[in-house]
Amino acid sequence: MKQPLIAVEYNGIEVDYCVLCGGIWLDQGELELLLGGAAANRFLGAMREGAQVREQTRRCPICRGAMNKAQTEATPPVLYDCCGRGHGLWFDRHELKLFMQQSAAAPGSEAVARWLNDLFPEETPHS
Amino acid sequence: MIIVSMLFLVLAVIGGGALLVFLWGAGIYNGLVRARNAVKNAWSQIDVQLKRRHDLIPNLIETCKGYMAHERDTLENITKARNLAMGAQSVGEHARAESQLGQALSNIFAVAENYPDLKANTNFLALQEELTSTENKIGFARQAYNDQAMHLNNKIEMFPGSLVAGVFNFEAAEFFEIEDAAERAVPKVSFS
Amino acid sequence: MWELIRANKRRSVALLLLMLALMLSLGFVIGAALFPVSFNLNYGDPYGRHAYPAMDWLSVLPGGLLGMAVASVIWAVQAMVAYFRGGAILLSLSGAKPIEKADHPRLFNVVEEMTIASSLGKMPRVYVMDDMAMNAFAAGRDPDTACVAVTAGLLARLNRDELQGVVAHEISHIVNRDVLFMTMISIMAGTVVMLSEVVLRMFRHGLHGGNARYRGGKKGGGGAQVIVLVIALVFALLAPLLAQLIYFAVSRKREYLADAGAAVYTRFPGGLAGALEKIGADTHQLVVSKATAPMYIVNPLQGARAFHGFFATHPPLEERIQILRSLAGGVSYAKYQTAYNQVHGKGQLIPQSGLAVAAAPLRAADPGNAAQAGASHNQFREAGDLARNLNGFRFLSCACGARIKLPPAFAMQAVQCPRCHAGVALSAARENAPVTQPSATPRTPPRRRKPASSSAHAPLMAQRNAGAWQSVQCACGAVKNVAPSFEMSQTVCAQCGREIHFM
Ligand SMILES: [Zn+2]
Ligand SMILES: [Zn+2]
Ligand SMILES: [Zn+2]
Repeated sequence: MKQPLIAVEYNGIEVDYCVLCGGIWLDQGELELLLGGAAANRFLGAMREGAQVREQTRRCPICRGAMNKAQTEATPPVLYDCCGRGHGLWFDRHELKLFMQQSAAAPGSEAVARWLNDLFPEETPHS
Repeated sequence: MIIVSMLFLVLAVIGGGALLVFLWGAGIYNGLVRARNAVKNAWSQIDVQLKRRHDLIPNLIETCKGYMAHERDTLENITKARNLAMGAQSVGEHARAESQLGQALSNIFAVAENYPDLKANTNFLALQEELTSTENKIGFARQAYNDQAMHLNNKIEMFPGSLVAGVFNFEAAEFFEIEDAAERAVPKVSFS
Repeated sequence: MWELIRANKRRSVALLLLMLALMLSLGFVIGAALFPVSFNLNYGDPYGRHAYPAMDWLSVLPGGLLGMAVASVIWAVQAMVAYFRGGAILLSLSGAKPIEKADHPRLFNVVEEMTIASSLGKMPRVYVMDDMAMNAFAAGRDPDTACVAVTAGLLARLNRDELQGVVAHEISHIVNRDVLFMTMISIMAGTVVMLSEVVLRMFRHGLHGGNARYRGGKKGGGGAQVIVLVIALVFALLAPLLAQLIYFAVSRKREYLADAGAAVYTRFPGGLAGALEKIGADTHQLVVSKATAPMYIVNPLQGARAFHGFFATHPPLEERIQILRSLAGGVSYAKYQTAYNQVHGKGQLIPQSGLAVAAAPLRAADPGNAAQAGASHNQFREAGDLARNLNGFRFLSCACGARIKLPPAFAMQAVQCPRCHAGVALSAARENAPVTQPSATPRTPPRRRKPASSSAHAPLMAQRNAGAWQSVQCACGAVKNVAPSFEMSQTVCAQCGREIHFM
């Protein structure tokens, strides 16, 4: 059964969330609110770097286009999906955990990681 | 025979002419009455907004009290100004009291900037929006009143309205002194 | 102001007549070309024809009159529909939905303020479009049926003064009766385009298909028929162009006039100027049809500065902004006219009679603007939630502070909070009289029925979560959304009419 994404707001910040798989969608508009317009675009641009990974392709919830696979430069790399048209980012549940642990190289990713930590305190891995 | 029919013709022309003049006059009269009613309506709109402001104030005081322990004077000033405005008798007294109340209100919103907890209170924010809007409406209602008063006065002064207005005792409407924009801005500038 | 409105009306009527003349003459020429009727009994006999040349010209009359009649009927039917249903059609095409004061008090207040400032008499109904692009329009044939619609994107990004400027612009359209006028004239232009299309198709068909009827005329050599055909062709080619030129020129003038009205009503031209700047910089595109585009505050079909000139319904944004920005030391129609002449060049925008009114002093900027610039985050969230409410979302609050928004297609009644994993359910309104009713309230299945009088049911009680949108489920199963700014202690279920009291 399919379920549409629900929105979760905490402290004035919002993400879209899938109740079935626990994945989250970071919308471009939300990133603009968090980082500012130019910084959000830079962040999304940097996060768009492709990666050759064999994993099922996801579709962007906004434009329905196939999203690109991308990964952070840290080890082990975090895999995520990115809409080629800059609509936003998709993190699977386990991807999200790792992303919060290691801030990616992209400008602004620290702020995004902090934000996610605030929103999902229980996901924070105890290292 | 011819004389009689001539007489009838003359009477008919005079009668028709009189009817036309009457209708014309009635049209002008109606226009004047409409303009006078518009002035009255505009005036009552100001009253509605002033009353709305009076009604909102007790609520505002109640909300602010808990947060503004050190601003008892500021709060008391508002209550005093409100009571003064509600009890005012003469037009001049009334105008002075209302403008004082406006000042006191802009003061309290300026002071509120120093109380982040109060600024986060949804009830306070709602009251601030209502009072800001009421303040605007008072200003716009005064401007609209002046426009209507000007319209009526022009009709009364200019021909042909002046003829009818003279006969039926139409009085020119008084203008509202619109406060200077600069004067209004002074207390508010401090918190931008 | 009244002189201005009256002068406007006169000019509108003149333009309508011009458009009507264009439409009717096109109808005449087409009719004459398509249905030639001969008065000559010896039709086909060259001698008989040359004998009565005047009769030849008469032959265009019946067809021409028929063409005029057809054109008028086409226009009249559309005009009637537009007059009586135009507002409703525009609103439903745009997807705008009516809101109450509690849904967005500021928007409501601003519309009320501008109603007072413009002496409109009756406050227009207020609509919101669920769209993050920034735009607004007015609809309705007169002040009694008028409505103002704005997008959620506009509410998300404009400060109070800017919103006031946009609303004033729309109210100005209502005061000037622009909506009705623009609808009527656009329908005429549409009819002209349609008739021309018919003619051109006929010609193409006639030339390619070799229809004997037309060739017969040509063969006859000379005669009125050929001339009529040529006239019809030229007319069919030129008329739509002319109609659109009239239409666009009129439309642009109206926009300037509405801007002037907005400056006069708000006594703060910087508000509308700021709004237009933000709208021009906006990258979102509103989805609208070509027919409704001229009704908006900025043309949603054009990129901000894609093409202007003769075929633009709206004047270039920069020019409108520049004119508004150069108004200083007071506002009046006369000052706007002067600024228009400085920026745009020659041209009488406002009738002489409207220029006499003295200038009003400028108003100070809303002191909340600076504070609002910092709180744009909240404003964005508010507008987004308003749009969600219009779309039938349900709003849940978790004890951990998370707010959960469920889309209408979301099938589950309760969810696990993604933040703290606690179960969260819709807050329910329940009867609070355990003596007469056992603790479990029997749930009647949700079905459509007439709202019963509130006395039929005991009032229900519900917990109120302040500061956020909240969905309350009535005992009948219907869900009622309450805005954060809803300050009353009770509301009524829209489906069954039960009173819902908040604790
Ligand atoms: Zn996309
Ligand atoms: Zn929770
Ligand atoms: Zn119900």
